[in-house]
Amino acid sequence: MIALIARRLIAAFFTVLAVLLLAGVLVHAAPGDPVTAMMEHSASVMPEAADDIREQLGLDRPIWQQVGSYVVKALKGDLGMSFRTNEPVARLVLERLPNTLLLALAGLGLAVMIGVPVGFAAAVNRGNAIDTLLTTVTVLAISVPGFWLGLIVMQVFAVKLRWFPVAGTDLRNLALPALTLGLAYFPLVARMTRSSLLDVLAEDFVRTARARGLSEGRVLAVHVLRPALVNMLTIVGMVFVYMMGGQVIIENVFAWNGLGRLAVQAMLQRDYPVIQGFIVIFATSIVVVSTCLELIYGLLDPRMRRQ
Amino acid sequence: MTGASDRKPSVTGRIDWRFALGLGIAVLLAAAALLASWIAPFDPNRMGVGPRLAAPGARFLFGTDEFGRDLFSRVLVGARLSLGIGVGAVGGGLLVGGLIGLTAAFSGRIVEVALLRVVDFLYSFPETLIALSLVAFLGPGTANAATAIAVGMAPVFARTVYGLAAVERGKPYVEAASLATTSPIRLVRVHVLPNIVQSIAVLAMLGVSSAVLSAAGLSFLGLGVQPPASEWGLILVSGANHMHRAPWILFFPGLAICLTVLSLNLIGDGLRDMSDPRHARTS
Amino acid sequence: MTLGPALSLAGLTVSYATATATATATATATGRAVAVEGVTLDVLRGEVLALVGESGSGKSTIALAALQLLPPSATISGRISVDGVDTAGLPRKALNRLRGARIGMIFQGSMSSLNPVLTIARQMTEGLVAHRGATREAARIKALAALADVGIADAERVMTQYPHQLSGGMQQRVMIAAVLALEPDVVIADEPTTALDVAMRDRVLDLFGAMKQRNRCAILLITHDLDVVTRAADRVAVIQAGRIVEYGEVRSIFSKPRHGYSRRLLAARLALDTATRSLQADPAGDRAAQEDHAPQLVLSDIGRRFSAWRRQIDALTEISLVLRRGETLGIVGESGAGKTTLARIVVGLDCPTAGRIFISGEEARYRLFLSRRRQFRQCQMIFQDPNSSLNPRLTVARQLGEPLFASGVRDWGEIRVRAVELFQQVGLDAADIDRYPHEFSGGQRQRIAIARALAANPQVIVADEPVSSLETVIQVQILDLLKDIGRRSHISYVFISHNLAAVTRISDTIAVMQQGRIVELAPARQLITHPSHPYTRALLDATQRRHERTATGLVADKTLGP
Repeated sequence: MIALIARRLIAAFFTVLAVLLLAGVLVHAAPGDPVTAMMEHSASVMPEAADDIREQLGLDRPIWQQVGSYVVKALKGDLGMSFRTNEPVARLVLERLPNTLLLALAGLGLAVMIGVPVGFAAAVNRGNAIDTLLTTVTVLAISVPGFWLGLIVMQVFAVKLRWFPVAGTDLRNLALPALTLGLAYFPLVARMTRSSLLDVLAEDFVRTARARGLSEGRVLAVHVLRPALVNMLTIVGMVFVYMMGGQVIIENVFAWNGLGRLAVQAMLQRDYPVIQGFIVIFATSIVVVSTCLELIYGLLDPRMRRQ
Repeated sequence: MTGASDRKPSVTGRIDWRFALGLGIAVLLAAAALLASWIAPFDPNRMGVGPRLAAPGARFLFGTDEFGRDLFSRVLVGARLSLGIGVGAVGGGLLVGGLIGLTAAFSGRIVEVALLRVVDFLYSFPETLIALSLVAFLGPGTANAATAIAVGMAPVFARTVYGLAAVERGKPYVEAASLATTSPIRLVRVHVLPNIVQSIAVLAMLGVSSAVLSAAGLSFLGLGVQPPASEWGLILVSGANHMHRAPWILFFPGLAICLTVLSLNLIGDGLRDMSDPRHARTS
Repeated sequence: MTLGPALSLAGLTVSYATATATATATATATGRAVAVEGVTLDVLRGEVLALVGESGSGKSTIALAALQLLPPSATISGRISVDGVDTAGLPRKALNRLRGARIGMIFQGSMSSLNPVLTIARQMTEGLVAHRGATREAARIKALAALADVGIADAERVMTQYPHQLSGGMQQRVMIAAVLALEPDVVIADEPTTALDVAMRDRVLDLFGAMKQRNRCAILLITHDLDVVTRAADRVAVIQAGRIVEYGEVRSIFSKPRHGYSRRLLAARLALDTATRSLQADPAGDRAAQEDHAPQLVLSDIGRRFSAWRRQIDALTEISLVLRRGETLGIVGESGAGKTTLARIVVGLDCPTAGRIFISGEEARYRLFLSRRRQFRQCQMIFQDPNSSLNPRLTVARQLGEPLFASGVRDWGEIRVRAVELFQQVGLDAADIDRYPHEFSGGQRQRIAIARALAANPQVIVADEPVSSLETVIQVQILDLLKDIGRRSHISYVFISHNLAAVTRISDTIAVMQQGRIVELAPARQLITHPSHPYTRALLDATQRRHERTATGLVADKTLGP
């Protein structure tokens, strides 16, 4: 048991390490030179000083050394300085992390609250009109681009109805982007829930329970629910990962001041250290949440508990 | 006892109505994309062919944008761009990912474990993040966006193809074939591929729909296709800016994306349901 | 006490929409596949009715129909009644009261029939609590008693465990105990003893006998194993392709079968046993003296150890064998003895953890999966299940062509000619060579598998239970085919089976395996007439007893009465 936890944690650490390495290496794929990028931002950087700055930043050293030092510094908490504002990247990024996580949580919560009942109802009513209706709705909903949905939501609720403010980052502003994420991702949750439930319902042990004469309600509650719940955890984990991907663009649509917004601004301005910082922290949050979910799963499933 | 040899080697059951519907829409869209240059009533990039922000009417089916460009023509030509990027990205991703998956399944244990570690590492992150990271450093642009999306999808393809191949690898008829074969490549090509092609086709369909969405998203953010091209995501930028005054600019490109993604999803789902009765919705 | 049958089926017909049907049900013009048709049988109180048939004949469908457990896609007609009451019209609640309490069902495949996230205790007591209104504690005691009845020694501990912690045999016994604990009036048992060894099997059958006599239970025993029928059943119904072809007392049917199918079923068994008998009856008869050829295959101290988590299993220990050209070595043993592991090692699909192997004089080394040395290609294999050993998406011609290509022939025209030759050699019609596997029957597919093994031009063919999943009638044909080919081409065989009679029919030398070791290795005649190891003697006795019962229809067992 302890071994299981330890193994997961070590794996998570190495994953983060790999992310750091990648972030360090990828920056060298960029065309041109960071100093050139810097000079675009700041008139105060003189071309003559370019070489000195290069040396200062260590850009004349071999790549592996640069990557190595990036990783080591990152582990100590130093993610470099923004080219644009010259602020520490770590601060910029960590300021915005809570906003992103808050939105992710809200969106995930909504998606699960809508998606699980829909998926459950579809599975239990398999084959009849309710299932067809729900499945059709799901298929249609999955085809809608998230950011388009966000714009429409904004148009309807903020502009026309004026129920909510258009953009910004207080709690009142949370409603629309969270709603958008919830609506965008509930179909995925519904689909996976339906599929997982159907799988469990088709299992032989459910047939055994029925053959034992247990009422359908009991069969569902005792024999189906437990394995299904365990699967739900996996589903939530997967949807969370997908949603973090989609959140980047939603944050930009609603001007929600999270990591996604920071990242896109940095990308458009070629502010490489910030981009690296974004990748590192964003990826690390995903790793942390995924690892936690895996550990909980390991605790719930008796097949995993031993050994 | 039934086994693999009892099944006919083709799709079972009747043609799913969803598949037919999806195929129908997709064919129309593909036709529109291919024939765009001929069908489009106006030059999509030409400004001022009509009044600015004109509502949809007889002359301008979808209305005009803030530069007076015909929206219908732009959306039509945009189909070609979006589908092109989608297919291209999937092609590349499938090629690279598929090769990795097959190699992992049919090489020695060490190669297998090593490749899987790398693939699983990438797989644990959203495709969007990987694509964004690449585009961030490579710079905006159509080719870069397509490449980034392809790289983002490669882990999914690698993992799925590996899974399919690993299942086949354990089947008696593949083991039997491995007893008398000249090379692993031949084994995979002759004995394994025919059995997994159908599943890969499903995956590819769904991949194109995902790629089209990603491409639109990237362009919307300004990181993908650059103006003045008429990619759907780009048009949506104008749509967002002029939401209240000219909602049609927001509506039509979005609808186009929806239809494209919907039709591809329907085809993919329909294919999957037809070849695997267990997942069929009606018993 | 009611006098009518406890369970009665009248004109039961079950059909499915074609999309969900298995290929073994016959398709009708209406596009529906019929699984069973016009089945009429009664199970009386205090008797065991055996339902015998090959896989896919519809036995399980009948069982599920009795409990109304068939999927919604099935169309059922005919009458199913329990103690005279038609079950079709019953409301849900009444049906649930019937299930478990009045009719208990023991399913095939115990591993998947137990819920992996619930403890054994939970699964065993819930039926008692729901139906008999027992308290948790009372249910627990009953469950412990039931587990003891099926021979589970450490019942207290087992109750706290989860299914995956138990072996296959224990899972099966738990399933049986769970059903019997409820003391139902009718028991439907679908292949209840497949995963059990002979001793445990007999114990379970004795338990059924006790339930029959003590509780006046009506038992429907579904099986494909004629041993089980002769040992435990009073009456028998034989089912073929969804129809009942024979129905009556075990003794009379087994001694005088009326329908052609049952006659063939019983006659084939006899034929296998005759081989054993003739060898025993004729010690002076001899097979051709072994030519003194160089050994084709030498296994030297082969061992195979599997390590999982912190446990280790020695599947094979100190296996040493020599196989000469043209010789047939039979390997016999119960399931779990390591026979398949050995087979896989010989052809190179698995790698031994100890020992060495020599093929045609050269040491063969194991390498990466698929980087098979040329040497291993000399050993080909025929797999057990003909339904899954052929690629469903390739024509048979192609599947024969590939090994020919691998053996060096590069001209596709010539490959085709040779493929047709092989096809005919195994007794198939050359015109069918471009068909797909699903268009052939099980026996034909196994012939194709043999042709495929021959196509690679091997020196050694390992046949792993090649006839076990076939109809007994076909078994004899395939065995004779193998023997014939062996005689003509001087290919050496390693013939693996759990059926001593089948092994005896074609082997020159026999090795007896028990738990990963060879306990006896001797020429066939010597092994049969003068077995030295006690395990060999036990196997021979079982075969002999079975033969006697089948021949005379008599049941030697006392518990089942005259």
